[in-house]
Amino acid sequence: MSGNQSTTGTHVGYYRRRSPLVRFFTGQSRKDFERLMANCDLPDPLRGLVRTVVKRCRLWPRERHEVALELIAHFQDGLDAGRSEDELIKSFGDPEQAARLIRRAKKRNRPLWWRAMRRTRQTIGVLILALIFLHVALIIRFYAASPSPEIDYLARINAPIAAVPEEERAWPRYREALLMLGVTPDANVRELLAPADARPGDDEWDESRTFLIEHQAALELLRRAAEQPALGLEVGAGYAPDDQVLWGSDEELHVPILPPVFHTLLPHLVNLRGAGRLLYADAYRAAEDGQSERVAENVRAALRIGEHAAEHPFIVNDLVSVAIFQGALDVVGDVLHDHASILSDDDLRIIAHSIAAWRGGKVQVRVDGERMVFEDVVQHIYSDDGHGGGRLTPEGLRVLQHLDLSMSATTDAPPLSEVVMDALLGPLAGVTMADRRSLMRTYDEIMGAIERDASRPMWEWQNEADRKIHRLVAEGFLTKVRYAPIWMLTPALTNAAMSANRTVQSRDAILTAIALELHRRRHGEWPDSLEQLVPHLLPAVPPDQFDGRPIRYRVIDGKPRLYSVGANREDHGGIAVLDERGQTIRQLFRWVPTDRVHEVPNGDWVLWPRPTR
Amino acid sequence: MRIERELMRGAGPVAVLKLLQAGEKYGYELVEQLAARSEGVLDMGQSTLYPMLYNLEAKGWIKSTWRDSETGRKRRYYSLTGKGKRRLATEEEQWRSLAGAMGKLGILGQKPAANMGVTT
Repeated sequence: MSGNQSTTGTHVGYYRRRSPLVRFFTGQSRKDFERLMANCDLPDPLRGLVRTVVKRCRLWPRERHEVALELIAHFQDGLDAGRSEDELIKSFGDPEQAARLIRRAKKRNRPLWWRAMRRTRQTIGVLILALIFLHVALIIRFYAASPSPEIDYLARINAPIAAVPEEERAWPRYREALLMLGVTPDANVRELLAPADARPGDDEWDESRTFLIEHQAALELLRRAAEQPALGLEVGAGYAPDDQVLWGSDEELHVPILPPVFHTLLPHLVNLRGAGRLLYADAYRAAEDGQSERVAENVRAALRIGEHAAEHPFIVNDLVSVAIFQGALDVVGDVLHDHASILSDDDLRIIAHSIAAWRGGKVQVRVDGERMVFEDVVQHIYSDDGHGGGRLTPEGLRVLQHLDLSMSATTDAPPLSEVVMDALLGPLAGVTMADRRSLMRTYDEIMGAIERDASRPMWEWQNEADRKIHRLVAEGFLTKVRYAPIWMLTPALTNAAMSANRTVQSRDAILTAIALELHRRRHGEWPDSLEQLVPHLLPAVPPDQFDGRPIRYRVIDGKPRLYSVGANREDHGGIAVLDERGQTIRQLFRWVPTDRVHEVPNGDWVLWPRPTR
Repeated sequence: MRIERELMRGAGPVAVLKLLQAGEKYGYELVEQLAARSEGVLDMGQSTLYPMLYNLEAKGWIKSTWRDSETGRKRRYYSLTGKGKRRLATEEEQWRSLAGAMGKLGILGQKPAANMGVTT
């Protein structure tokens, strides 16, 4: 065989005239190499050595061809110089080492773009390996943590209730009354108790009167129940067997994955609210019929129901409790305006005392229950290192995913897709979310702000809590994820506090109205100012919750009017602004910061008599 | 005498650059001259030489061209680049310094420096 390049076309320049891709896909490169080896002028041992080295180089075809050519030329020069095959093979060295070194060196000669890509691939590979290693470490860390809840908050809530003697519990009597009224698991309670919403003058009033008269036995049972010192209803994630006659089975409501306090069921609040509405309606009926004693009884009973509703420390309890109280205040105010003559002075004093003493004089929304909910959730989703610290656990991640109370949240084995997502995202959530100590510290700061806001009169509000929460959510996605349990679990306590403050205003107005009536009876005319009521009929002139100054009082057309300047902080002389339902527009009694008062329509929040009357 | 690999790693490239200083050479020629002119000390196998040549080429110290030999066979000839010449000058300077230091220590068979305190 001859090494003549004309027969092989194998010199380096040949490659430059052919596309590498074409040569690859047509197998031309391999053929050229085989042709080169077949036609080179070397003895078989040397040819074999060249073939071995070149093949083991694993280079690009062009590079391989160059190396082959060079080695072939080298050995041919050696043979020409009189060296034997054995001498040449021996002096060549280790073919494996040669191939390795040649490959390494040839790669250094490759173009910059290739070397850059190689370096990039290596870097990416290292990063990927590092990320995989890190993720595996995070997975191990994540799954090594498990929650160990120690405090039974539900037991704490129920302990004082469990201590109430059976005969002093109001709930069994309420239940009996509700059953008498026809409340069943299948009944639409709202429709059933619709007669409670009608008022004298409404089209449905006659029908309501008939209903109320027919159900006096049930109403009497409600009044007797309200006299009990405590509601006496232990709560939890299910219904007591005796209560299933009212609410049905609780099977479908079971969400075992959720922490117990978070999942506490409070269906009785709807029933208590309904009971309160019935008693208001009966109070209007009694007033119409001149039954002053019944009016006072119903008012006192409704107030007691409001206190019973607050037996559990949750915010929803307080909201219902305050709503029931507000309803009672409305009744008193309306009866005082429309049927004052049926109420004796003693009736008025007893009613005033009941109102003033309601829940110890504190119309408030507590945060204790919300703290318990949060702490219970935290102890079920975080591990505990014994020093207040801990990290998110896999169980905790599932709880957070199901905090929307999906009914599919069970303790059954999750689907594979969920397991995979947990494995991928769980470790990231574990390092992203705040640790237990940091979370609780931030939560305490917010709750402290809420408590400070709630303890201030409305005219001194700074809305500190809302600003803290807003900052938390607005600081960015990572911060939002970091403190997710806080903004997921913290209810709008500021709005609740606002509601309570409005009821404080109503309460103060009704007590003042009672004092005005008593003054009128004593002196034959309305006082010129509220200061005249102090101290015999009022301990002090109550403040306007919006500006801290005394509540406003005017006599218009011979009739007294008590009002607040409202959210716009301007005195418009007691002019009410009503919506299409004939009620004061909400903007007038919803607190806004002072820099937004210009958004509130002109007008005042008329407290008594209610503008609808 | 076989030279340790670490020493060869430093000496080999300099030797090749020095040989190329005299003019372009092909692979086998370099092998022969390295062995002959170093009296066998720098007799490195071709499995070492060719990778070394490729490395020197990657560094830009030498360049290569394919040309026809006198026999009509294709050969790859290597020559120094400008960068290679500068590199060679630097290496030579370093080797002279090293040799001088070694000599003062008596390692090269010269009389050691006076302050060594070594008696001959």
